[in-house]
Amino acid sequence: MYRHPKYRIRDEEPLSPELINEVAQPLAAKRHRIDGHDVNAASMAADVDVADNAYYKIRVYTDADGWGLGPPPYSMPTTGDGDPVTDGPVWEAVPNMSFTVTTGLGHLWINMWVQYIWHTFFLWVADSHHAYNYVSVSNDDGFGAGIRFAVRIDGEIYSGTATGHSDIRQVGSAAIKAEPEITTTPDVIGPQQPKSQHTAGVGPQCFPIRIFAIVPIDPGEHTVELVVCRVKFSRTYAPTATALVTSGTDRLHVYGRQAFIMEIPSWPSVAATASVEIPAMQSEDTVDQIALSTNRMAVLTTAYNNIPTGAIARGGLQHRQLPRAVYDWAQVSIEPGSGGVATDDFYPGYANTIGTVLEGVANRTNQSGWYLLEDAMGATFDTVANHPAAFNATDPGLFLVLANIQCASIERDGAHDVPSLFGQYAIAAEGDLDGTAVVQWHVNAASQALVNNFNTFGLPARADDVDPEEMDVAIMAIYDFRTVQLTSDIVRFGVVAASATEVGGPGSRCRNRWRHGSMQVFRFRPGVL
Amino acid sequence: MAQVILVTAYADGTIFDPDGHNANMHTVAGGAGLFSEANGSLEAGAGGNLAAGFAVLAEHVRPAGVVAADRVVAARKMEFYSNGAYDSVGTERTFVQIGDCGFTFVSEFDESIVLLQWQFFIHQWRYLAYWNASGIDDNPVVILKAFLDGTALEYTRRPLASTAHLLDDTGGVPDHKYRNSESLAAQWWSMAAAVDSLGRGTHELSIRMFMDPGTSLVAINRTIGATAAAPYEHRCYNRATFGVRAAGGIAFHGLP
Repeated sequence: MYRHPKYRIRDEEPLSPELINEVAQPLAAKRHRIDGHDVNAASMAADVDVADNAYYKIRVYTDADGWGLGPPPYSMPTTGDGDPVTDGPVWEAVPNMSFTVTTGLGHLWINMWVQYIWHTFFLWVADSHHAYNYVSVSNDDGFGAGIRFAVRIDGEIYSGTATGHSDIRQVGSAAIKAEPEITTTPDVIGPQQPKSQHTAGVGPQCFPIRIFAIVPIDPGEHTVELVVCRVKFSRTYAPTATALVTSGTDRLHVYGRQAFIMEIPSWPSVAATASVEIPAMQSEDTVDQIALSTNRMAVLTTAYNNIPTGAIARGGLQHRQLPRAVYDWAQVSIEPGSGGVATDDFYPGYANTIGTVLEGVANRTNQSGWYLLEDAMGATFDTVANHPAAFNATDPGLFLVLANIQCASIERDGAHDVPSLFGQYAIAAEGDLDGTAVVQWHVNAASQALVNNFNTFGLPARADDVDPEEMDVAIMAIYDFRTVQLTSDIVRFGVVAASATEVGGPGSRCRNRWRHGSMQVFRFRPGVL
Repeated sequence: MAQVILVTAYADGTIFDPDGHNANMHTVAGGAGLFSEANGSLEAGAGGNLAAGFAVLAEHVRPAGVVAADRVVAARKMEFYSNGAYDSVGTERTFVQIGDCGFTFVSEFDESIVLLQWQFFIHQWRYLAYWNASGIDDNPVVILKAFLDGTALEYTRRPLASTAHLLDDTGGVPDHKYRNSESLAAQWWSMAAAVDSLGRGTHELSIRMFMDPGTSLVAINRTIGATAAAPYEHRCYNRATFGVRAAGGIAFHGLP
């Protein structure tokens, strides 16, 4: 708070101890409670050092767990690297996605991501791995995977994060009625409603799931988990490739997974103090150079010219006196033309992530590698447009990249009625991320998402049904440079795509079509939770 | 100028100087005066007032002074039908807000960057009539879009996939039946938008939906046992059902 001298000493006024004490003592007291009023806001915001944990603390985890779909020629994804999900409506923790954190009073901001693949009835006899198999919409009306993920805090599913319905027996109604409602047809009793489906969890055969949560927390130890349960209502899919199938049930596995947990304090801990002591002037004390200067004014001058960390009041500084809570940020988006944009570049394999990104319309077709997304006008889906400068990766910090892509369809030669068509999306960064002194694209392996033509397989071909999937693919990437930094900055971040099909491999022209997209890049300060 | 410099020394054997002492305490011009420097002029950086090794620690930061978070959540089911409250055939005129999938928040500072996030479970019965009685396909759209303070964030525009595939027999397709992929197409959408320059005040994120009601009469085969009944006309609508959902925001404050 602002304080002013209580007295202005005037000429020929008797110099009493009070006149000295009541100007000097408040200054001493103020020095260990310095707050936002006392500092030059612009100077502090520009030049002050902020401790790593001052604003927040972050815990991250990334696991690039491959799904067995290698480079061309492709086979189907196998369950070799994934972790199985137990059937049944019981929540279980996703392996390696349980985190114990000790916090103060505040909030946890949580972002979790996982890729799942539903391996239906397809038993690979040779190595006993279940492989992916498509589900036909025409096969028993195409029941979905019925998978639910959620964030669990201290054993309780956190509201707003379960990827389904709270009522797992939820049945959707068919929005249709017969006209007229009373029929005279003799073999039909009244109007007949098409049957509905249980729909309590996410349905596609392979899909990435991103969940956020903002959770108020008490001080103490907390367990944060990504949990999963499968709400399955149908086992009616018949084995199809009979030569390879003997028996068994369908399987659902999780693959790549990531976690970003930030503790946001809402109450500051008790601050250390760095007090300044000056003796009070007593009656009959001698007013001399030592009393006034050495013991008082010089002490105070030194105290205000050499302010230690402990002199700041508890919770004394706020946004106007402090540098921004994020080092850097950017957002970019793309919007489509009338037909969207597609690539049929071949997926180079889960582990093939360095230097495989292609750019430009001429490289959009029939190439091997990832393709940097663009809109119909040729604007690439990277950060350059809104953030032309490079991103600092040589100082400690941590990047969180979120991206959403409207994947309109996965098709082959204009047809969707083809099994096992896959589209891939991932976040990539251009820079020297592997220390080879070569600036090139690096696809973030843990961010790889796999989607397929889930919605129309088994239906009659329709040339005008160009965008049957219409899914929002949410992906996420974490670049943790808090401990080890790069030797040069990251030129740009981008979103890349590829396509794959086990039906013919390269040249089969499996197209991955997208429309809208957006990406947010945040570079956070260091801080370890 | 931040370093405090006393304008008057207190030398023994000299007459006490009230004006000099007062200036040591407070000066209007700044650059001297213990009180005046400490009342808003203490500076960081070279030549400033901070000791070597000074750093802002967590206990020095005002609660929510640099990062603040808030959210709303809902778990109850919410359903929308195209014959309910929508009146804009073939246009995207009427976007209706999805309950509990958006939130109102207060931005305290002009300089803040806000990351907005929203997520929901959605499944839909959206029909695609392959050949209807008039010979024209009917596939009325259902579109979701996020709005910030009433302005659409166009990059969040997402149509919903067709899930009710109605196969009439008037177009030559022998299988005039009904395929339902609603369970397969059920999705969890988790989206985000980052904004700055919002300005101080109350702001609103809302997720809204447009449903074209369509007009389709579709003939569907209705079978009882092994006996195929004659195709019978049905009036079709669209339905979108929302499950668990949430919206929230993280505000990052501080001067750039």
